[in-house]
Amino acid sequence: MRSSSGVVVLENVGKTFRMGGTPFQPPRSVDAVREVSLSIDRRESLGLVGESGSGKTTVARIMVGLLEPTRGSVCFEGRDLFSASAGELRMLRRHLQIVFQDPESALDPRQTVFQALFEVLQVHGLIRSGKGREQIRSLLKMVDIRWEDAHRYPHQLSGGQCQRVGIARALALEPSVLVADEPVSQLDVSTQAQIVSLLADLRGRLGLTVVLIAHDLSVVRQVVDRVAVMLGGWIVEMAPTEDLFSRPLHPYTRTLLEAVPRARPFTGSFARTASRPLGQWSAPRSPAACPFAPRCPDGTSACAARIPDLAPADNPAHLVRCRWQ
Amino acid sequence: MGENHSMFRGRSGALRRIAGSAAGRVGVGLVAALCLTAILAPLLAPYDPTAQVDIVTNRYASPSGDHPMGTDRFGRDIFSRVLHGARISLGIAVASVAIAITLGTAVGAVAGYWGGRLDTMLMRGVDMLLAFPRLVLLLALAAVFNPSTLLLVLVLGLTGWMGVSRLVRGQVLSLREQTFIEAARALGFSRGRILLRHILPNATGPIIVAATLAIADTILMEAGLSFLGFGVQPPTASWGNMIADGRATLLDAWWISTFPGLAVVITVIGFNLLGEGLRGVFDPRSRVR
Repeated sequence: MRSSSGVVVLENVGKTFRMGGTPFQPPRSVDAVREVSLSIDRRESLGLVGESGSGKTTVARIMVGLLEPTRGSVCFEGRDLFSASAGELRMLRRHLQIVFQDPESALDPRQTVFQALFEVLQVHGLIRSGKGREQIRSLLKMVDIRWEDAHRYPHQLSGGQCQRVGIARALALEPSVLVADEPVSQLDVSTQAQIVSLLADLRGRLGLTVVLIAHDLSVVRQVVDRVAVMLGGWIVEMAPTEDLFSRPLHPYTRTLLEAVPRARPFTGSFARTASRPLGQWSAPRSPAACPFAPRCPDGTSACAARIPDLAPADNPAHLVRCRWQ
Repeated sequence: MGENHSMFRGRSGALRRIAGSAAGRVGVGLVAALCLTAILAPLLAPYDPTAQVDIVTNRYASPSGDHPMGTDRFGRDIFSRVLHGARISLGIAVASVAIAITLGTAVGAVAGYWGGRLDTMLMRGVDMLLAFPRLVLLLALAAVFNPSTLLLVLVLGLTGWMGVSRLVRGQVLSLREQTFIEAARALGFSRGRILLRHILPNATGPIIVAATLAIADTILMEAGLSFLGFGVQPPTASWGNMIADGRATLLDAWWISTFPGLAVVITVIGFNLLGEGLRGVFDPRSRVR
């Protein structure tokens, strides 16, 4: 376990969603996040990857205080987000900003870009008298949006432009942490690269701590220092980026890496693991089971009974939850 | 994309957009004409609407140059009465719909946004009120109290908000889950600001449409009540009591009921078309680019 000196520290965070629950039907519950402990250092850039349903978006929303975890705690600079009062939480949120997956729907359809940015600055009293226009101009410049587009509505902008506006809006509050929840998954490939490099650039310029969430490892590879791989609500492997790409230890991580398109695809162990279904897995019977057990080439009954702890493997920074490592 | 998008769109932009559709144009025209008529009625009307000059020779006069819509059994000029009736009918409808929309929006927004037990209580209350036949309630109240225009406005307003509150609640419930509302929370906006500045403005389209439909509906309701004698009291002219006036002589003096009836129809159509046009203005996504 890392020291809890990080700017954002999640400790044993879990989230169970309860659904249904009519007088005639008992509620069903879904464990979106089983147990996640994570400490993010100041100015670090962390990639959070995993397939849909792995719980990464839930972790993102918990991290910025939008969703209260069922178990565990989230601290920002040593202050517990969810024991703070509603007013305090709103002030803390200023420092923890999030960029959403669907860029257009993250903007109020009735506000122009200018109005949206102005409101954010105004609510937090950040407008220096008579300088509002200049402040917005420089925010837009930072994300490469032309001033002529400031008076457009979200539906008049492209997805990439909307995402840039979303980033500018988050940065208007001068946050120290920016969580980007699959910021490029709904954009076309050429735009994806621009947005990812914009995020990397801003991180360097503003000294941001960035959490980049993606289902695609290739998106995070160039820009993050450390990668956490999530599956079924657990972090199954976490390592510095180069370690993870050069020596993936968890069989699920290996499967993910093999799913990344390459120039020469049919080499190595591609055929062995990639032929296994990557989509929805049938839920393991034991709640503590390794979620990868049903499709793991080395899965045993022990894996189906209990997932091991996240433990250091070949070096202290490379953590993995697999009994074979 | 080369189009010079107006950087500082004002309210005039809204008028230009509503005039973009044929329905919107007709609706705006009709409603504007009706409002002008109501305001300028004393100037436009050739006669005093309650004057009974020379009943013997002048009663039941068919439409002519002197009396474009004829006269009734007291020799009063129908055209003048229809013009003055517009004031009463429109005024009652607009005032009572304003009450209904305000109340309905407040109740619906609170129920939808706060949710939980408050929502359940409010909505069961609305169910109970909706189960009460509105017309019977109105008749009972009109029987208990002395019929007056103010009472009519209050009663129509206080009985007409339940549908609006359901509509608004539904809108709020669906908007509440949208990403931009979550984004507003992430940006540290207060609940009140989110509700008033982000949720309700995005629900204005359906609310405006509901309001225009409600105006049309209320005009019909007022006409119905006045027709039954519980609404606007004679000699004040309202379209409803004018229609009632003419029903005994419908075959001999058709103009007494027909012209106020036409006024009701045109007004209802006008407001419906206006609602259609306004929907396009209030929902930027439906604007054609």
